[in-house]
Amino acid sequence: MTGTDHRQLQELIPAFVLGALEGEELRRLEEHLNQGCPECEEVRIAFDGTLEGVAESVDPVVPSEVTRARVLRAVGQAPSRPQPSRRPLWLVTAAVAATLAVAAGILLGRHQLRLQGRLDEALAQQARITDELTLLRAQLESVNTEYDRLAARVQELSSPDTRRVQLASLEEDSPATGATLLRPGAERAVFYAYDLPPLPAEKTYQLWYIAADGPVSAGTFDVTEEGYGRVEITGQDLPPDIQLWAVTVEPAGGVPQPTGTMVLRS
Amino acid sequence: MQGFLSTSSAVSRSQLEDARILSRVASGDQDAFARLFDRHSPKVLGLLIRTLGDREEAEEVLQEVFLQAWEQADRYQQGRSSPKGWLFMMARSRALDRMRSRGARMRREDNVAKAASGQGMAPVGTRRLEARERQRKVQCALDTLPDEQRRCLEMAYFEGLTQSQIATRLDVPLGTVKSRILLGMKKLKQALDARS
Repeated sequence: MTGTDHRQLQELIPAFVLGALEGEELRRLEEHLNQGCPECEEVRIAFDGTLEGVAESVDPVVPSEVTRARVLRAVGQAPSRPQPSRRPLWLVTAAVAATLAVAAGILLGRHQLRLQGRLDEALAQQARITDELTLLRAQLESVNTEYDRLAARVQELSSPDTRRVQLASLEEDSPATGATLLRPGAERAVFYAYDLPPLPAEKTYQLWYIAADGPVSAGTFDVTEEGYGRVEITGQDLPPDIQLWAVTVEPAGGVPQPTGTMVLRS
Repeated sequence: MQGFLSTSSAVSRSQLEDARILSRVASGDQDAFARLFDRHSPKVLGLLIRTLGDREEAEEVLQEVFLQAWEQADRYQQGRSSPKGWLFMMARSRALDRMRSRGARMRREDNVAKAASGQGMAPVGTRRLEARERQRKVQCALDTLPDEQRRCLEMAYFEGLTQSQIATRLDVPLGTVKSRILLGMKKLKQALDARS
């Protein structure tokens, strides 16, 4: 082989290590490398190192724990490798047969690995779905309970006997309002407040009704950030001659008689 | 042979450690194998995802690569490549086999974008910072290549195309592709050697 021929073959090596070489050029270079040219082998190794650099350019991606576990488990189950040694022919034949059996075992093992992996995934998914189903059932039950309660309330309050008493703010520019809904003869009434400003922790709103005997407390309440408050008046025999409904600001816990500023009144 | 080879750099500490680990894997040490997996599976998986464009398939091939590494660790020859390079070669070979057996050369850009988005995690820790630094150096080396050379290398490496296939895809003469690959690989080698 001339120096020129040799150089031409070496110039094929970069494409060869990339796997991009083909046809007659590939055949010539492979034949030359198989003959054991140390120079070209050194060049090939050097360009393999360059390819390693190309591979290093990709972003690393950590494998899933499932993949890691499968690989380590498969290694734990894989049979050990046969050690090379000088053996008589009958031993070599037996070793070849054993190797083929091992290879078949490994192939079966890989297939089993894949099936096991799919089974693991399916079981994990089933467990997730079961948990979600349990949570959804609990939520549905809670929603149904709340729905039943609200439906009963709507039925009660939409009765034609229900009377509505409107309360208005005493401040001219305040959007705060309130309303008491009650049915004569019923043991329950409900008061709603809207757009009342939240109070500091040491204060509370208190609802009163005023009848012939003077003011009677109907309960205390706090409001949400949006200013919404509600009082359920239960267990009280509301007198038929209520003249006034009012809301005052009182110390936390309420007081037996109104002492603070009135903010809403009917 | 002038111009092909630079003076070889000393084998890095990381490569020596890898060689020690692989030697223990060859003697059946499963703990060493787990270490080998943890050290190199992120880069190998990244390479497989980049080549195959599908995370799930890439994780399947990753398993096959490391199982092969376990089975053939005693055949690894230190002089021919680094242990990491050996893993990369097996991974690339299996990935290209998969692609060919799929029988379709679909455009992978969309799949790669989908596969890569939100996947994996940023490496942390000192050793990972070193890996990040190596990646940065490689990226810088690749950036020194003219676009047309880099494109040819990437098509050959990540898509497994031959020179004539690349020429067809890019609609350029075969000789042009051969030049680009030869010059690109030489230039890349020089750039990587200068940075090592």
